[in-house]
Amino acid sequence: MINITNLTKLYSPKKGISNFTYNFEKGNVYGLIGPNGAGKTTLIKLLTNFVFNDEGSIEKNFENNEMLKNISYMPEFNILIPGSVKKNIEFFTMTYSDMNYDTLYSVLDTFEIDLKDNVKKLSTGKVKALHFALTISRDAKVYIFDEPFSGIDVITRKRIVNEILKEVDIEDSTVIISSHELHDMDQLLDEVILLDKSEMITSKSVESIKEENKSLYEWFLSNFI
Amino acid sequence: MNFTKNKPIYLQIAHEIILEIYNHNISLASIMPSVRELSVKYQVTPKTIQAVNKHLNELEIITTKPGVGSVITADYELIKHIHKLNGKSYTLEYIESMKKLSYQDDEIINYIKSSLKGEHNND
Repeated sequence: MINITNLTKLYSPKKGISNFTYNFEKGNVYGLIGPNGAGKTTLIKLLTNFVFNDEGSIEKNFENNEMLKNISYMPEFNILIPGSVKKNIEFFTMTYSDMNYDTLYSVLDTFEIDLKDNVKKLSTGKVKALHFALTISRDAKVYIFDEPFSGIDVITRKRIVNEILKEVDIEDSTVIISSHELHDMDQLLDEVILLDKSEMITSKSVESIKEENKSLYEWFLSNFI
Repeated sequence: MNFTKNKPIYLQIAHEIILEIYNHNISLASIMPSVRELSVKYQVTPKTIQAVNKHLNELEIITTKPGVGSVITADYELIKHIHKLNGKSYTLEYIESMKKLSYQDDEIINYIKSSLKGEHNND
């Protein structure tokens, strides 16, 4: 689905991503894991054309790969505009025409977000949930979530996991989730890519980690100690 | 379902499904739910469910029929047999970990006996 070769984008010698080579395939859920500042967001910004690379290549082999046409991306930063949820949906769909409204309304309902709600008055968790709802409800080939679980409560987290499994046709798409830690990610990921100081340390399938009788969290820590 | 985090999840789900068939909560000769349905039910990725199906296929508990999907075996004897094997392998696993703790055979037997008795006393 996405073939990356020797991808490099450095803001300074240790900030960014360096010499990253990897093939993201259809039907898998990938975890981009690493401490803060490891290079996860730089990699995601390169995949979503928010920044451009210094070296290397990204090859996306799906039909229309212009800009974000087939990539649905939930950034860590706020993309909402002042006003109601409804106004935000209208604004969002001016850019992205592939919105599935049945999914969107059902997901908003799950998170108890009303179309009339003013986004300024939403809690941190609900702001995150609204970003999530907009991302997951597009008909895309690739779904990228940047730190979807940071700063939210356990219930919202469980709902996000459930909605990803329920609403995304994972068998026919590629899902990439970044997180600064691996706690409780065992069931959601198929493959993990460990980044630190702008470089990939290692990558492995979650089942192969468990074949070695380790939990994801134990494996994650063993790479740093 | 709560999964043990340091063991393959697909095996845990496969064992659970075998148990459900053994207990008649899932009917013999019925059609397996879709990958998507099972993925939501067990809160795991479709890839994990595909591994479950592959494993059940290898054990001949399910067979894939074109246009129909995966069909569960009608052979209850097979289910009983595999259920027994699962019980055996859990027992062996327990014995192995007890031996790592330097327990002798008779100690393990006595330990199981007294633990089972303890469980009955609590009833």
